[in-house]
Amino acid sequence: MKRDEIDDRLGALLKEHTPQAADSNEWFTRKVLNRLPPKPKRSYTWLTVATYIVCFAVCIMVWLWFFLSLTPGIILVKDVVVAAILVAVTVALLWYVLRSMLRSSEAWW
Amino acid sequence: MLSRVEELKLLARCVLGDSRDAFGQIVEAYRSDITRFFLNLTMGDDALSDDLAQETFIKAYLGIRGFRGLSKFRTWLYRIAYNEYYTYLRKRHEEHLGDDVIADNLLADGHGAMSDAQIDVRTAMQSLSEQQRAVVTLFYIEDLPIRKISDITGMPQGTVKSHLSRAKAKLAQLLEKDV
Repeated sequence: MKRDEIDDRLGALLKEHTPQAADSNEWFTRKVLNRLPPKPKRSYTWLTVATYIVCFAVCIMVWLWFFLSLTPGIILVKDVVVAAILVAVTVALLWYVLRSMLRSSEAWW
Repeated sequence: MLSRVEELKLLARCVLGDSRDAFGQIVEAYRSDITRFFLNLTMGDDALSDDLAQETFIKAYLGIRGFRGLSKFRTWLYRIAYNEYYTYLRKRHEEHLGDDVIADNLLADGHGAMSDAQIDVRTAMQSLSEQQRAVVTLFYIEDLPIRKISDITGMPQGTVKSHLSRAKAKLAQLLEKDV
C-alpha cells in the first residue's frame, strides 16, 4: 500500500499529538528485571568443576602417553588416527566446558 | 538504537548465558517504543501502559529461546505486545468493564493541559475500533509496513489494508481541519 499525501499528513499529525513515552525511565528496566523469575541455582557446580578437572587431567595424560609412544622419525597410520581422535576429543571437551562456563558466567562472577 | 549486530550479541548472551545485564540493555532499547505503542492503544493511560509494557518484556524473556530470528526481534516484540493488549481486553470484557475505562482515561488524563489538536486526535482515535486503532498506531506512528503489521497482528494483509482504509477515511473526516 503506497503512502499518499494524506497518509504523510495524518502520520505527521498523529506523531505530533499522540502520547509519547518518557525519554528516560530508570525504574522501568529495574522493575522488569526484578519481576523476572529467579535464576535456577546450580548446586552441583563444584561437582561439575571437579569433573572438568579430572577430564582435562586424563586428556593431558593421554596426550603425554601418545607422544611418549611415538617412534622417533616414524609416523604410522595408527599414530595419525589416534592423533585425530585425540584432537577431536580435546576440541569437544574444550567446547563443552566453554559453553557451560558461558551459561554460568553470571553465577561465577 | 541498537544495531543488528549489537542486538544479536545481546540476544546470544540472553539465550546462552541467561544474562540479565544483556536483557536489561534490550529492555532499555525498546522501552519507549513499546510504551508508546500501548499509550496509543490505551488512549494515554500511563499506569496501564507501563504495566502492559512490563508484561511484554517479561513474556519476551520467558520466550526468548523461541525467537528463531525469522523476523526481526522488533517485530517479534511487537507481536507479544499486541497479544498482551488483547489478553488485557479479553479480561476486561469478561469483567464487563466495556469501553468506559478508555472514556474515563480521556476525561481524567489532564485533559485541561492538552491542546485542541491533541484533544481532537484523541477523540478521533477513540472513535476507531480496537483493531483499527492498533493498525493505525503501527502504520502511522510506528512507521511499519503492511507486511510487518500483518505479521504482528496475525491478520491477512488484505484485512490490514481494509482496516487502514476505513480508519484513514474516519480520521481524515474527523481531523479535516487539522490535516
